Amino acid sequence: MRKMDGVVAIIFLLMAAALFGYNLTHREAGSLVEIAKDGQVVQVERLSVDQTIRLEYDDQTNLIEIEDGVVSMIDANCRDQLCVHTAPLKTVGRAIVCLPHRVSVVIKGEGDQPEMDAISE
Amino acid sequence: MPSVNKIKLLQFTTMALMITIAMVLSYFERFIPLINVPGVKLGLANIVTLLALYLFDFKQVFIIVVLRVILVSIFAGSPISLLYSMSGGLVSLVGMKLLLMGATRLFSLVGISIIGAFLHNSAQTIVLGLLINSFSIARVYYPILIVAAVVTGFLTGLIGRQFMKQIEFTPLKGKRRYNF
Repeated sequence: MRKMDGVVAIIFLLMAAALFGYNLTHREAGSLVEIAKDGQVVQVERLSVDQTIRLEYDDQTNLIEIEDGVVSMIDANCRDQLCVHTAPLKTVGRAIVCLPHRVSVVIKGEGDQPEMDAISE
Repeated sequence: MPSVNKIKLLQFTTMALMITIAMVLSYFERFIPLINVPGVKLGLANIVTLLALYLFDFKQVFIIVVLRVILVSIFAGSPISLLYSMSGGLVSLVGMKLLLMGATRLFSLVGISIIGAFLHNSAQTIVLGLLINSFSIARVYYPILIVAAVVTGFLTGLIGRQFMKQIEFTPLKGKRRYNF
């Protein structure tokens, strides 16, 4: 082991801490839930309205639940189930991503314009 | 002293073995539970990349990494996971190769492994940001991925170093390329 090994590890950890701090100070309670498929927004809902949204594309289903101001993916038939295990969200910028189905659920703030003109592939 | 052909054959079979081992490692590590963040993995296949960088020329290591990523995606992935692991795999490979060429006085294998893991996760964060078209999400995951890279890079570096000690005298190594 050389001295720079530790130095670089500490630099990385400091970077992580700085970015984490930045993320912490730049978070606010969201008000909109933006659901996108293949990078394109397909649905925008209010975080204050409790509901269950079912997304179906071919044989790919995702079940998204908005309840008490938090949104979670309660079911999906994707392979890795990472989206289902993601903790419920309520702050701006947080997201549930289902990579196998290319579905993302993003929390937006009141001021954010829904990105209806998202770039298509 | 083995003949040139024997060394070629040995290289070839060793490369095939390394691809296989890397595939098995990257497949089975998903059953080792870590924290529930997408993209956080142990990166055990990185041990093979490190070892290959020690034994082979860059071209051969490149082949090992590319084939491993493609084969794992065919057997247990998707086109998107292919894009994801290919970007991470190649960026960390190039980074570690450059460090091995020019910075072995500064970093041991463990440090290079940590930087490799960092580059790997950074590339994946960028690809994630591009795929979902939102870097405000990617930046939420990035600190976690950096910490994960330091931890997993350290562990795989330690394991890799143990391997290096074991293969000190193989006929594959014509000359000692790097001094760890």
